[in-house]
Amino acid sequence: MPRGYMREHFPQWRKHIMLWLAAPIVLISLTLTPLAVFQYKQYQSLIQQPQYGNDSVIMLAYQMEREALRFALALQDYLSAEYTTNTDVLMTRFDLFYSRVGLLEQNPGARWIKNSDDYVDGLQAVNTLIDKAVPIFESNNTLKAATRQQLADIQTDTAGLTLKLARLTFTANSAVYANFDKSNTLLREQSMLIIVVTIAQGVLMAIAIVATYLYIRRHQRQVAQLTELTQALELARDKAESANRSKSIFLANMSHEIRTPFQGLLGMINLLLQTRLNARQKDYVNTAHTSAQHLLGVVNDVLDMSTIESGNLHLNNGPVDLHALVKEVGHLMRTQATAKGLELTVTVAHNTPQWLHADSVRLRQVMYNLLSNAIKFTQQGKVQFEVCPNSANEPGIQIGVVDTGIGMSQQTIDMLFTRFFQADDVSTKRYQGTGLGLEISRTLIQLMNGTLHVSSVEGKGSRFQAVLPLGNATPIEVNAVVDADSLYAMATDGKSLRVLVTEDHPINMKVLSILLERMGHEATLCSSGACAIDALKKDVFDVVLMDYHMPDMDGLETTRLIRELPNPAGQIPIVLITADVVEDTRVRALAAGITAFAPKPVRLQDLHATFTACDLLATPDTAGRTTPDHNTPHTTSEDSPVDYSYHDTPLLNISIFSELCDLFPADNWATMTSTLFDPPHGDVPVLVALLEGHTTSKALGEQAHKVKGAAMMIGLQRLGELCAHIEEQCNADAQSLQFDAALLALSATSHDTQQALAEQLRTNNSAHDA
Amino acid sequence: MTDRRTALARLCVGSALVTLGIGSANAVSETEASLQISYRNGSQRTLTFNDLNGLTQHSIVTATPWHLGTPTFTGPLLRDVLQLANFEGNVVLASAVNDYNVTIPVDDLVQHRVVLAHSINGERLTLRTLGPLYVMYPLDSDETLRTSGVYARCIWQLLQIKEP
Repeated sequence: MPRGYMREHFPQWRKHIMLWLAAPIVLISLTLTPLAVFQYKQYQSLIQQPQYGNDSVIMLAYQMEREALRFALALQDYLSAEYTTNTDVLMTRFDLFYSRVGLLEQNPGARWIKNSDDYVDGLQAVNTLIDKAVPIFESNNTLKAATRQQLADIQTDTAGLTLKLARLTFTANSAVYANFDKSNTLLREQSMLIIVVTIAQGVLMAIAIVATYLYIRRHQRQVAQLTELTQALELARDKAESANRSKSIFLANMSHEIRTPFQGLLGMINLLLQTRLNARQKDYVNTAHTSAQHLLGVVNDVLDMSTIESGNLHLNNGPVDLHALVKEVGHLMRTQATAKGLELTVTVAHNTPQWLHADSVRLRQVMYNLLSNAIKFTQQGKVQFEVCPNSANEPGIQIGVVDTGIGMSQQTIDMLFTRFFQADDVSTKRYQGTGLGLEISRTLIQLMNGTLHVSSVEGKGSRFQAVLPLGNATPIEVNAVVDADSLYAMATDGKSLRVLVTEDHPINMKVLSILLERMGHEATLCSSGACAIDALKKDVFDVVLMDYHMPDMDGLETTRLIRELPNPAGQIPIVLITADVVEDTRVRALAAGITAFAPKPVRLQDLHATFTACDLLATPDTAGRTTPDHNTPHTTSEDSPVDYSYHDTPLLNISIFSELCDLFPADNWATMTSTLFDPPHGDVPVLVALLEGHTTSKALGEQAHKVKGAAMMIGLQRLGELCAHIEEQCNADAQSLQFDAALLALSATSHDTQQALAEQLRTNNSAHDA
Repeated sequence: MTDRRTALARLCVGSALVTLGIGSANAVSETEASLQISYRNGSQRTLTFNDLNGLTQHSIVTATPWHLGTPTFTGPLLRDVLQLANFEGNVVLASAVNDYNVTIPVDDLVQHRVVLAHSINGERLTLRTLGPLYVMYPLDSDETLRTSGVYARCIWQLLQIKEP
């Protein structure tokens, strides 16, 4: 994040760096270059100085003046000497003088004075003299031959030179010193320049340092800002996440809150429809039904949309029987299609996979949406629902919905998936719908990693093709769906029971009453324990369905109070309806006097099974159903020995037992069997002890009842029936109970049952572990 | 007057000795170039041109502060001359015709090819052309010779060398 952030928000920062680095460098080189040039020039001039030698113009001018004077002197001596022919000295002096002139003229140092008048003047005079004298001084002979006058002339000229030469010397001197001054000034200027440049460089360096420092500080500030920003962003992200979470919780709650009453509403309307209504009533109810259905659809769409928006839509994948699903959906839609006079064909290609790993609810939703759209927008003709496997290398399926409807223009197709868009804006009211359905479907398809293709010809029809690359799933054992209708049939074969329902939750009350009605029983509703007790006092019932959680008096408390009622109310079978399957609850419930348990949510088949287990549904002519080939305990004879063996009754009711096995872990069984069988406080040993007392008593009857209930509940069939027999005999005719036989049978049954239990548990456990 | 007389006398003596070598006025004769050597003990000796010419002749080509271009100076090496004259000392006290004096360290003569030139570019030096004898250092051969000290030792119009 930082690096991209920098480049985005400080795009110039690289250039800035370059500038900051380049500027000082350029400036420094700008100041150093002239300095270097100066130094070089100075060096050059310094080199040149020695080349001129120490023969400064002053020396040369002086020497010339000196030799001129000496020459003049020599001339005078020669002329004044009375008698001499020795010209050597004179010649020498002239030669020396001559040599000095050349030296001065040729000396590069003379350039300082070459333009001065004195120099020009002086040298001109000197050269004139030399020109005059050279012929005379050509050789010693010519010199000797020279006249006095000639020599005197030269002498005069030479003397006249001296002043000029003196002036020349002074000029030379001044020139040299002027030169010195110039050099000095130049040096001073150069030194000044060096100082200035050095200071400038120092200043520049200071600026560079300050600039660097400022830059570093700014950089640090930026880093601090970035850190702050990061922290703020993290905070914002956390806030957003928590907001999202609350939103999803809200959605989940709302979803539940809205859907539950709706289901209730629809359920009620459905039930209403099944009651006897006159034509008008039926009409009204149908309208209500349609509206409710429609509203539920809208609410579902809106909730789905909100879920999608907040990003909370997740698929609950599991094994889905595709073929069954397609049949179900087709079945559903066929009614709609037929109502409009359309033909609906459902085609499943022969090699379409049957079991897919998908969210069955959502898959159904997609199919439903596509089909209902097709039906909606088709006035006549047919709708084809095709399912085939996906293309060659892809897993999954393709779902195609083809209709001969009004079709869509290309424009419409392009805008099709925008929210709230309805294909026919002109007559939006003609085609009902929220416009969300297609978008939701598309989102769902996308969630399944699939694609949706649309093709259409206006006026001819459309094809919606969903490509879903779903994986295969292993088929699962589907418990034979017990059709509610068949149960109903089952129930009406048997007795119609009078059921007292004690339940505080109105919805649950309703559900139970519906169920019972469906089963053909008569339901009386009580919303509290007190009411139930009152009802039991006044009326006779066959069984009580007791809710566990109730205000004021809970289910167990009510049960205890009921048990204290005089018979037959006190003996009434009480079925506890609870989602709680904890062992502790069961034990307490049994202690309170609960006869049987029905799990929540209550299903028709569960109730039926419970009633059967409580032996409530056995009518006199169907008595043999659950206990085949069994001497009815009702036939008593004083002499004929009562058979307690129940040989033909199986020890364990396997189906109930298996069901319960799935619910409980193995250690629970251990607790339960110990509760039943372990001496001295186990239910069976207590019964045995009572039987040994050889006296019928209320306690014996109650104990037998207790064991029976418990045994029945957990599927110990033989034991339960035996105890039921004992109880009945105890209650009915105290004399008929043959204690010894019963004891024998009880011991044997108890022992066998325990063995069978252990073995069955072993088998079940190994099956589980496998 | 007296001073003039003595000066003249000295000059006469000097020039007489020089004349021994100089000879005729015009054409510089081979006998004109001569070097006077004064010894510590007071004795003197004169080397003639022939003496000098008898030694191995060397030529050095160098630019000088007093000449245009790079002339060639020809003559014996000064150290050879000293050797010939049995000169002893670590310095040479040289004096010129125009009373110029300079001290030349013998180390210089050992280290460098210092020539006692009698000719420049093949032509014999005369008094007018800063001869007849001109001590010349090989200035171009060594950067360290381009100092005023060295230039001072390039004595021209050499008359006499004296032991220290």
